[in-house]
Amino acid sequence: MKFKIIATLAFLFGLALWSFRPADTKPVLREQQKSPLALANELIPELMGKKDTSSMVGVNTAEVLRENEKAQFRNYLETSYVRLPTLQAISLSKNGDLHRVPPEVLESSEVFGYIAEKLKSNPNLTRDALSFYNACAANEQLITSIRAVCARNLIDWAKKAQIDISQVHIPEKILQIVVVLPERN
Amino acid sequence: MLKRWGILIIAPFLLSSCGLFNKDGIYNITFDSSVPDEQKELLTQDLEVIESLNFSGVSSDDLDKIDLPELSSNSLGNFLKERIRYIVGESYDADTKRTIVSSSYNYNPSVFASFSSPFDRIVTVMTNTGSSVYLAGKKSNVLYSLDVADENILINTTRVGIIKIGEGLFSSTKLKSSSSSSLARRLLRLSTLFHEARHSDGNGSNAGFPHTKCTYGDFAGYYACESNTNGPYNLEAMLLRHFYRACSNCNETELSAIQLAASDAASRLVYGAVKRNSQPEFVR
Ligand SMILES: [Zn+2]
Repeated sequence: MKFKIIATLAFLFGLALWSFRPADTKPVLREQQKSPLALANELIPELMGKKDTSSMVGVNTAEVLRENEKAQFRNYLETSYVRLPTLQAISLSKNGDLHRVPPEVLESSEVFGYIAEKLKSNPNLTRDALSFYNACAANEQLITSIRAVCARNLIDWAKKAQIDISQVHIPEKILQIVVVLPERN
Repeated sequence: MLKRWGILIIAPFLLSSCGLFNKDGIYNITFDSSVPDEQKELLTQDLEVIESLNFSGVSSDDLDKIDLPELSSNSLGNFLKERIRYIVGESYDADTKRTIVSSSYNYNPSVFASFSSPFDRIVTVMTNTGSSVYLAGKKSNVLYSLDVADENILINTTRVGIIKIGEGLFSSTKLKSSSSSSLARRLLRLSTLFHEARHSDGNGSNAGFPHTKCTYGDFAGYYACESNTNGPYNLEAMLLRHFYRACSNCNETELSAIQLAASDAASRLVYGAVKRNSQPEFVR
């Protein structure tokens, strides 16, 4: 009997403590809000965004500039990723004419264009870009046409940089669109 | 004397080649007065771009979807010529320009598809005014005519070729740091025009190549999908695929915009889409 009372009191005390827990101020992150560079990808360790420091002996100015450019580029990728149009964005589209390409989709050409220009001038940024494209192609909250363009870029830039992405899974419905899209020269 | 007669005979030909006797514009397309001058100018230049396009690496599969024997500036020009005859502006109101020719017309189109389709539940969403009025008439057994560009046109086929354009055609393809006269934006507008031109084709249950209701995906519940491999969206996707390659000197943002537009069009194709007879139907 005594044991039962002690157990009940302990339970009630625990319940009281739990009810006074601090409010969880961190909102649950949507998949899209996570950094695309933070998404672990065991299949391509190079895409995990880990910096190779083994060769960083005797840092010179050019190298510092390169590292700065890389940091800025990574920052651009992270901020652009959360702005890619979602399925929710089309349903709320002010345009409302779903017969034509949603304006949000065409507007994101700025992001794809900027990344392509950067990769052409500095191929060392390719791995970060691939990580961005990989996360985007897999993100089910994004508009399908955006995901397909990300997948097209993932394939084309990986091929150009001779990075093996054969282990990366691209959903069938995305691949069906990818094959129609023009490849990069 | 013979010289004078010679000049008299040759003069009209010379004048017509100068455009003085030529009422119609490029590809014989006539602009209605409802089209604002700046839109008419841009669109005329867009059409002129077709003649300068060069295509290579076109596969037989691509041609199958485009539903053309070859992809060249010539074949594209002819494609438009056969499907677009008039362009009207946003202010053009078909309801007020419409006249009933026969109020109990027995539609017995000369061409009818002989197959049944799982995609028959259709509602048309298009700015191909000629095709829309034809289908509306067919549905209610009324034969219409439309006043357009100072002419009265009998609406007796999906191929009547009256296309309505609006400000959206120019604003929806807006790209930062790319003017409306850039090649990329011209190609984006042309792809829309070819999409609308395909709505001038088809027969029977597929007259006007209407869009089908998306039963899944991004546009589920909307009539924004494609059940034909040779329909407007897929034609648009295939053309944009080749416009991308033909977009010489285009910057990366412009190329990405073409790729995104192609991706959007290709994403509208539903599973089980089939190639349909594109021959247009007509009555009378
Ligand atoms: Zn359409």
